[in-house]
Amino acid sequence: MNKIKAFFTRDNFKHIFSSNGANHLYSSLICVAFGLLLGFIIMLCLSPDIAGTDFLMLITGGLVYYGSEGFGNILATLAPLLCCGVAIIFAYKTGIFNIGAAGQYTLGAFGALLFAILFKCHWTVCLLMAIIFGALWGVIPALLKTFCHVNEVISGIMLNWIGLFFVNYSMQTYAKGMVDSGDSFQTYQFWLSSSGDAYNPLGKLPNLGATSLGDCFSIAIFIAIIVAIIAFIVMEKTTFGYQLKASGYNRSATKYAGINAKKNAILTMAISGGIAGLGAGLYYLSGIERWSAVSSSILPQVPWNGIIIAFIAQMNPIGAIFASGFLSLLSIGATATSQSVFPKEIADLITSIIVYASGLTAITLRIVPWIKNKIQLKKTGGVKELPLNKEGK
Amino acid sequence: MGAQVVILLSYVLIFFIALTIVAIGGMFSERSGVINLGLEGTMVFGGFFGLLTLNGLSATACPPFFIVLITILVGMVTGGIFSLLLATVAIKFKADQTLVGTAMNLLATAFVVVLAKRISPASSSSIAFIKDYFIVNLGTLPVNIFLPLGIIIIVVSWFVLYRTRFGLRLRACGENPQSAASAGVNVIKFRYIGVILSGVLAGLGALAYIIPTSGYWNASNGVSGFGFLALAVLIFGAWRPLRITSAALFFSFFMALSICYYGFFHAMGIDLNPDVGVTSELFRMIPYVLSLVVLAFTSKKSRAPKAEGKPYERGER
Repeated sequence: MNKIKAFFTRDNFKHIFSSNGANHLYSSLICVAFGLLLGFIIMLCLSPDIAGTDFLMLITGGLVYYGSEGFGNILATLAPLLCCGVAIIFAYKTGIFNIGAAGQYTLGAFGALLFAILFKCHWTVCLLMAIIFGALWGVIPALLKTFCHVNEVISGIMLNWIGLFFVNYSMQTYAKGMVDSGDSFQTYQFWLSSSGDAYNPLGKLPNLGATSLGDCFSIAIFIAIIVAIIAFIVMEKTTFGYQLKASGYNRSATKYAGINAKKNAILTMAISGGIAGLGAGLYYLSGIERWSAVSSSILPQVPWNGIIIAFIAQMNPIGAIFASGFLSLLSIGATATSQSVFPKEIADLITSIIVYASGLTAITLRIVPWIKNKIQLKKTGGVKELPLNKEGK
Repeated sequence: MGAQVVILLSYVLIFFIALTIVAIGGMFSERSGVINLGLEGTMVFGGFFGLLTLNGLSATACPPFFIVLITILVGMVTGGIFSLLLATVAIKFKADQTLVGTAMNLLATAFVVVLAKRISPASSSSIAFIKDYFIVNLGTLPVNIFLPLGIIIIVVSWFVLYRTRFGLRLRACGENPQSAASAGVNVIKFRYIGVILSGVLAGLGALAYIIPTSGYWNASNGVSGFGFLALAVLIFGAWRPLRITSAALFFSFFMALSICYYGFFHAMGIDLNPDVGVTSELFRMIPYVLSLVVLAFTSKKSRAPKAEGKPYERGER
């Protein structure tokens, strides 16, 4: 009992609130607050009269305006976002910036839809194919990096566009049974009996009978959260995760310590790509949107938001759950505002400001310790301390 | 047949000059040591304000010469201003350049779409404009004002980079900033100049890409990967102005084919359609695949500026 008491003494909590992890948390909260504030100011500039009410609608709309269906939609969009965020985090921990997630996501979408519509497979098979397609696309930049020294950011960018063009090409030629040429080449809504030959109700993710949560809600959210937790455990609690992180910190030192850095880099990218592909599977198999083979001249938005999530979450998979919840809350809420004044892209604007601000960790990591130091200086009335210990930078 | 060749050629010229301008902009940034992945976003931002100006001025009694001049200047200046977003955080605060570039791409598109929808009475994200001021017909071949501008930029950038003190110092900042600094070069200043130049040229390149191709622009489509294609041209061109020019010519040929391949081959008696396995995506994919292959074979002895992407630390060696 005394031990427990001792644990909860003030000093212990002080330690928690000034630890490195806490500083990262403060830093992302500052970025989020900054993004929201700037977004609000922009809304004030667009229309001062209704900016207040619409800003409230933006951050609560998904829950209040749309009711339980809105909540279901938030959960449905959360799942793929979370997967993409975890994919980015997993690679980033190993020192690889997986900017190619968009390409892996695109291929994942292709894999899932191909097996759902053309081969009429069960949704588990479709998800598995999404993972495999994504993983294969993720391995390419890793191979190029380890064997040809090609920078993974450059090859990732190229592979994004190759992937997009390849998928759209496929859907118009040898796999054209996937798209409805009478409906601007969008993929069939295979879960509806009206989709004719493409009808395959088994391909859609099950919704566990929760019909009040809207058409898009499915078990996707549970799959995504499990993936995030597994990723966290693998990275923090296993030897494999330790090796990956070590090679992210210092490639030569890990090689010297007998860790096969090449194998690990390839494995990491396979896992990262697989998770990104899974995200696409969860998105397109729950019927949130249909892939359009002709008009998709830009890369899908979800994997780019994954980058935002990874940085808001400060590279923590558990934090990513909350970050993606926040992002999907905003994106659903943004459709509830007065569209003629505040278009739904205002959510993208706010999140992109947040990710831009999170590039400024050099400043944001220092703000809270600096304020605390000021307060302490006032209390003690003198003796200046260094703003931060060495670990906190 | 002749008419089809003219159409193809006119597209090649448009894409060639726009790609060259943007890629040379990226070259200035990378040669100074900063990777500008935000080229795409900078194009969207600069292009939007340029087109907005063009749209506004067309309704006034302003003489065409000044309309063209002011539009181009606005595009360049706003592009330059937007690139300051990268310059300040990447150079001063040593932020991750890949992250900031990505953020800029997202930011530009979101900002431009919000603004476009707010301005437009029907809250659509499209802007209409009159392109006639920019185009002169040489016989049957339409040539736009950006062609002579682009050629001047190619020549000047080559001269500046290799024949002036400024160019030597800029290159030194990208190869070995510490030794440049020890020789009295202000690395920070040169990197700022490099990044701002890339923004200015990206703004101009955006106009060169958007204006001649059609009469309206949908902001939510942005420049659909054109900035990234310019990045590929930059790498394919080994960070050198003249090679970039030839790489851009090569890339623009495929891009032009992706638009008018059907008519072109139809005139030769070959019917290309999805049923025989040819779509426009095939042609758009080729430049990316080729640059990836070239990268795979040449990256071991990379020609990239050695210090690119690394923040400048004064004390480092």
